[in-house]
Amino acid sequence: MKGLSVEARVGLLILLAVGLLAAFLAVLGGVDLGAKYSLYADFDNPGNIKPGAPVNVGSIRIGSVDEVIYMGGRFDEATGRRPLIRLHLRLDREVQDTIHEDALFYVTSQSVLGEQLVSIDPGDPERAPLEEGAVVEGVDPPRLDLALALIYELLEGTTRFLRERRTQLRGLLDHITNVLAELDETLSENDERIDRIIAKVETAMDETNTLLANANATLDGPAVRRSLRNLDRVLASAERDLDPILTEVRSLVNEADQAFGPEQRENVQQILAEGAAIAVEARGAMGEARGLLDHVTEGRGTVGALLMDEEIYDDIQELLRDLKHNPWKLFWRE
Amino acid sequence: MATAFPSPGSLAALRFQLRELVKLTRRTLEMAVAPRRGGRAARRAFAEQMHLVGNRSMPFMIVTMAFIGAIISFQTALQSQEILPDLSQVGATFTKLLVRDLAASVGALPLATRVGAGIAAELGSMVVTEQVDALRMNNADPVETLVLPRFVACVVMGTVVLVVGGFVAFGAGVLVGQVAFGIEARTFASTALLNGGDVALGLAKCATYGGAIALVSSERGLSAFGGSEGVGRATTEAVVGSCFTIIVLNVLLSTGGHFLLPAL
Repeated sequence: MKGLSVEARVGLLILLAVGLLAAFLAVLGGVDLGAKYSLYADFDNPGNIKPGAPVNVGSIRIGSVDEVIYMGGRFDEATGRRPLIRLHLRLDREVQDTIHEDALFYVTSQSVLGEQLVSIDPGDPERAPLEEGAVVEGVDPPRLDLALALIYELLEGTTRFLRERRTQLRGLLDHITNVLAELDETLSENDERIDRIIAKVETAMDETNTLLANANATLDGPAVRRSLRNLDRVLASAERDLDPILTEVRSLVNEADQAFGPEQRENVQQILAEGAAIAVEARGAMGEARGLLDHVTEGRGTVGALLMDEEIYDDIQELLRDLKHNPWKLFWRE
Repeated sequence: MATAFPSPGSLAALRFQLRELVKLTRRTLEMAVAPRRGGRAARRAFAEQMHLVGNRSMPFMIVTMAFIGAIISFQTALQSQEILPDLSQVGATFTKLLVRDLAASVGALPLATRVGAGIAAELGSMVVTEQVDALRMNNADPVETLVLPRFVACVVMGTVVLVVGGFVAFGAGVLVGQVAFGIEARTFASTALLNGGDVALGLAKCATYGGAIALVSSERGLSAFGGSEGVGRATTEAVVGSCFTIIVLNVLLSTGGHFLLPAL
């Protein structure tokens, strides 16, 4: 440095500063001489993403947001959607074959208060890679502002309710306190009984378990299994034979129907009508017989008295016994 | 230059100084746009002034800016740690703060003490020893001969010194972040929050502060009177005036930058 002129020293310092500044601007501008390709991602709410924001897969930067395009919900014929915002992404050409058709595009941030970025889930490797210029539908980030607004509204409503119903709430709390105190008192007084009840419930539960175990054992037993097998066979047999039987019955009915002519049908109808009349008369006779039987059963009338009055029965029995011992009384009257 | 100087410290004196400063600024800018002098001697004068302002200030500025960068980095990380357990964005915030404002504004203050005091003392001595009058008698304009080289040197080399100083402060900040807070250098050295507007505003501040130091100090030096005591007073006023001007300009430039080159 000693041999350098003043102008040279000044020039060197200027060059140093310019070099540092140029290197800094290159880093800031993300100067990258590698080949790039474009993708587009549609969002309704891409958060606060800005041009130049990084595009990452995992934590690896593979490109940047080149442009944030306002689409305004206009119909896009190419995609059939109405996007609000479209992000133009410039990605490294070398990763093109790893970003597939079912890739997911998120807007997220590096940390709690960090810079926002586009994160890509590359999708299924079996699917085809996304072509240059493809437009995909992005996954909108959660609207924390809306969530906070809703929470605020909820808290405000709760506060207002608590403030307006303070008296009622205090009364309710007093009631609850009283109920709890009484419940506690009741439980303390009936401590032994409760223990007994619990013990009984436990016993009942044990017995129930035993019963269920036995029932299971029975159901799993050979007899039940055999019965089920038989029932199964019967059902199978019925299923197999029912259709032919029904067919035969149906054909018999048809044949009977065809065998009977109009005259026979009239005779049958007449016979049935007469049968019905006889049935009515029989029902009347049966009714009268039942009435007579009731009459006798109740001990009314001579026959009823004879059959149902025990005193008469005893008298007759005494009479017969007396006659057996003294047959002359048939001929001799005192 | 100062023919009817009011009593020092009065409001009239301040108004007078401001008027003189505006006049000097206008004349210097006119000559900077259309210089009348040229040739080897003029280039030599410019180179010498640039060497004085730039190269000779570098050691002092490097040390000062290293300390400033370390302090800002430490305090930024410390305050962030009290709010959030996440220090991943401290580097990005520190870099943005440094580029947009602190490298220029804070760095210009020590620069003003060194360069401004030098200019005021040199020109003040020339005034009290009547060298400036001799220049006038030789039909040489003191503004063109004395102020313009210093103004250009301060604008160019002030920017250079502050840019280099900014990088030194950045390096010191990265070092403090790693040593004191365990922030990985690659994480700390983040330009994620920066944009072109931040760099443009930072460079504009560097150049403006450099020019302001030269003009305020030259005006104070050329206004010196009363022997060595007057030179001392002019030197003090040059440093105070330069620092005050830097702060006022910082307010104006930051306000303008907020609207023209927004941070986010």
